[in-house]
Amino acid sequence: MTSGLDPSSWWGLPFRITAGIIFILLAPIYLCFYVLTQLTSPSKKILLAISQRGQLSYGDIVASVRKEDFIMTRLNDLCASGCVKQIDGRYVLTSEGQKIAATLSFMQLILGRNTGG
Amino acid sequence: MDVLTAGVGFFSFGFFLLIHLITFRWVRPERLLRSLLVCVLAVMGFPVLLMGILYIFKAADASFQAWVCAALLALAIQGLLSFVYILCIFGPYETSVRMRLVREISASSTGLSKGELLQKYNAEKIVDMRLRRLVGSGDIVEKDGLYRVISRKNFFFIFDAIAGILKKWINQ
Repeated sequence: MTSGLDPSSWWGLPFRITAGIIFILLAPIYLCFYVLTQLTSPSKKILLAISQRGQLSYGDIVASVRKEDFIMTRLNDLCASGCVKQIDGRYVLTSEGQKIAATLSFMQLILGRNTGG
Repeated sequence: MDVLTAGVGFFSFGFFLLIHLITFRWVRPERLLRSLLVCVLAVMGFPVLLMGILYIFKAADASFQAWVCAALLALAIQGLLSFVYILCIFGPYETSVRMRLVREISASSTGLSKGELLQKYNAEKIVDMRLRRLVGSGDIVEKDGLYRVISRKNFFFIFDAIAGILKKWINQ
């Protein structure tokens, strides 16, 4: 057992691969939290709206969610990222979008759960 | 010992995934958040138990301290893998507005106009699904048609607080 930090081990213990895996796994978690700093999820919006006013009726919650316009902002994001395109006023999937849809169908088969959203 | 630790971490995650894939088919949306938490917490003891068994059978020649560290690190790998799976795969599948829009458009062979899309998926549907989940998880309660937040010590507020710290740190 060595004392202090040894560059070829994890605090003197033989866990280099483990430390590498933990480091790699922390990266997507950081990215998720980074995305959270930029975006508001509908659940967070609902909780914050209720929390700020103490209590809210269903109508008020719907109004606060409608004000945020989650659907059109997300749809515009999908268009900007090339997953969806608009043809004659109709939204259709691009080949990228079709790949995502196929992945979601496959996941539905594996998870056995109905459409979320 | 290193490979054993990583192996136990991944194996435990595989066990979690198996339980999740088998049982979550029947979990209703209102029980989703609580069931996920229970499932994650229940499986968290698995890597420690596995490491204990491997220690008894002396699967590797290492000190007791190394075995304790290995158990904790295997637990960390399993926990992080579960967290990444929930945050990056299961979460978006279950709750993402974008994914739902892709599915709605995909279901129509000729595409959808804005009006048609909003008929199928709109603010009311977003709120209905989330209220079911949040009431089911006990984060909010409904009384006489009014919704109230029970406790600010839930995942959303904790994540929001971490994101707030991160935002402050990024902007510095």
